[in-house]
Parts: sequence; structure tokens; C-alpha cells
Amino acid sequence: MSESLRRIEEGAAMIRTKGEPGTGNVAEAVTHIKKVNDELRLIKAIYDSGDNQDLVRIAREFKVSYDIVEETAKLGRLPVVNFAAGGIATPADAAYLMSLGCDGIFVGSGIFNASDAKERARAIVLATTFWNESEKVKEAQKMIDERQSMLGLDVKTLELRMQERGSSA
Amino acid sequence: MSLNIGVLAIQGDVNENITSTETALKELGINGTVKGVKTSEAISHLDGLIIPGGESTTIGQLSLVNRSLKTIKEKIENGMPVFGICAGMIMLSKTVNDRVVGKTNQPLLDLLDIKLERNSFGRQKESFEADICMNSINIPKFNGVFIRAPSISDTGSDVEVLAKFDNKIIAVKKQNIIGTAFHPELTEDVSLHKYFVNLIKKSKTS
Repeated sequence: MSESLRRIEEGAAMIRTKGEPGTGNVAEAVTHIKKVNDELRLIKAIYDSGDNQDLVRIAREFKVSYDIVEETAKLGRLPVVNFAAGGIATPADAAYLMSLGCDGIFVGSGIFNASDAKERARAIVLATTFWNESEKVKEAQKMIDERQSMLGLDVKTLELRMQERGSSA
Repeated sequence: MSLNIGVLAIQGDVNENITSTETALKELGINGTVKGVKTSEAISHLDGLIIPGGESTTIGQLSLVNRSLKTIKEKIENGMPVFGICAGMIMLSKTVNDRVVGKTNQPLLDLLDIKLERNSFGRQKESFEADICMNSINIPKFNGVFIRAPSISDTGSDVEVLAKFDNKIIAVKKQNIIGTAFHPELTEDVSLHKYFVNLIKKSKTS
């Protein structure tokens, strides 16, 4: 979350939480959004308790202004839209991420590397729009052939993970 | 009496409109709930609907999928007040052309007899704010936020023009239908949302 708030303070109008792209494995994206959600719940709880000093401490720790921490804490969500990306390959992946509170979904290779790209794109759009209607998600999931989904790579065996790229430079 | 107001929650400025409408209800001291709606079932119980700004082809096509477009049309024809903002006004109109691409072939509700031009003021980066005057509904000054906004070049005889900007029609009304090319939910001023809430209240009590 501290990373998102720094980007927003620099002027970002949207945030994309990035899982592990190109893997067809949505686990990293889910881990990331859950981590952001945990931190949001924490600062919301601090805001509700009225402990401004603790928010000041968090602002310092995050290296952002107090104002943006206070606004985020008050809203209980990031102050800009948050799209999930990285490893989404099926309608069910998309619907699950929406249910975790994402505002939208970004799919790249999950669609473009699939042989049923057109139908899959349509199905993922449906599942994202109607994520909270299980019947529609099921219908969307049936539009695609699960066997043609990208095979999820195991994130643990990757040489360099997205979240570590650039951080050591 | 409690008003049941919905914001079509397919895509676009949904949360912003829910917040503005809730503020309007509070300031007017009227009881009511505001919810994002997507299904025909939820729409069928509404007293009033806001179709928010966003991307009209997306909103149109995705509301065709679950037949909510048909329910919306029937409800409006039976008198339910509706407020179409930007893409929402495009959805309500009869004929739509894009300034650049021409014919759009998009699903429409076909309820407002207006000739509408999409992207009328230019592309995204030509978006702007301007003071708007809507004297006929007692809103003499309103900060209009135009984001890749449409405009209306011609209206049928039953459509009332509420505001013009740059000689282009940007706000209209026909009985229970209001449409604006600008985004009132993006300003602090809730006077248009208040006007709409009053319209819903009147239609429910009459």
C-alpha cells in the first residue's frame, strides 16, 4: 500500500496491482490484493479509533503526506481505482479478484496467448461485470475450455519475480 | 415514504453518483436508499435510475447481455424518472453519430428524440470545465465538467432544452427523462441531483 500511496501522491490516476505476469497463475495477484486489503483495514481501524498520532507515524513510515493517509483511511480503500493484473487466465480468476475489492481487471497473455482468445475475452468481460452473480460467472466459465487456459506456472520456480524486479538496482 | 434510487452499475461513475445522490437526499431531508444496480430484478423495483457517465458502447452491450436494457426501457416508458449523464444520455437517445467514426451501431434505449454527436468537443485531452446556466430549472450557475463529452445538434418538439454551451445543446429534459453532457457527480454541487430526487419524489406521490 505504501508503494501505491507514493504513486498516487505523484499524480497517478489509477493503480494496477501486479501479480506475476505471463504465468497464467493468479496466486500472486491474489496475495498482493489481500496484502493491500489487510493494510487498508488496519489504517481504517486506526482512523476509526481516532488515534491521529498513529496515522502520522504511518505517513512517516510510508514516506507520504498525512493528508493522503487520512483520506485513504477514511475511505477504507485506495483513493483511485485499482486494477488487478498478472496471471489472470479464466473468467473465474477475474471474478475472484473483483470479489476481493478490485475496481477492474487487466488481462494480457491470459487472452492473447490463448487459442480461443475472442471467446475468452468475452467470457472474462462478462465475469468481471457480473462478478457478484454466481450464475453469470458460471455461465462465463462454461464459455471457455479450461484445458486451453494457460497452464499456471509455479511462481516459486521462476528465476526472477516481478515484485523483485528493479528493487535491487 | 422511502425512495428506492438506483445507479446502473455496469461501468463508469457509479460510486460518485451514489455519493452525490445520498448527499442530495440528506440535504433535502428525504428518506431513501441509493444502490448500484445491474440486474433486471433490481431495476424493476426502482423509483428512479441514474445511468452514469462511462463508455456508452460498453454500458449498452453489457446491459443487453442480461436483458436489463429491456427492463430499463419499459420502466422509463411507464414513467420512472431517469437521469442520463454523458454516456447515459447517449444511451437514452434515438440517433447517435460519432464526430470522427460516424455511425456507431451501438445498443440504445431510443427514448429521447434527439440527434446526438459523440466526442463532440474533441478527444480525452480536450476535456474541460465551464460554467453552465439552467435557468428553467432554477439552477442559474453550475460547474459543468465535460469529459470527452457528447452534444445534441437537434431535438424533437417534445424535448425541452435546459442548457447550451458554445451553441451546442448540452442538457435536455422530456417529462421523466433528464440528460446532461457534463458530469454533475464530479463536483461538490449537488443541485442537479437534488432536482432529480425531487422529480422522483413527485412521480412517486402523484
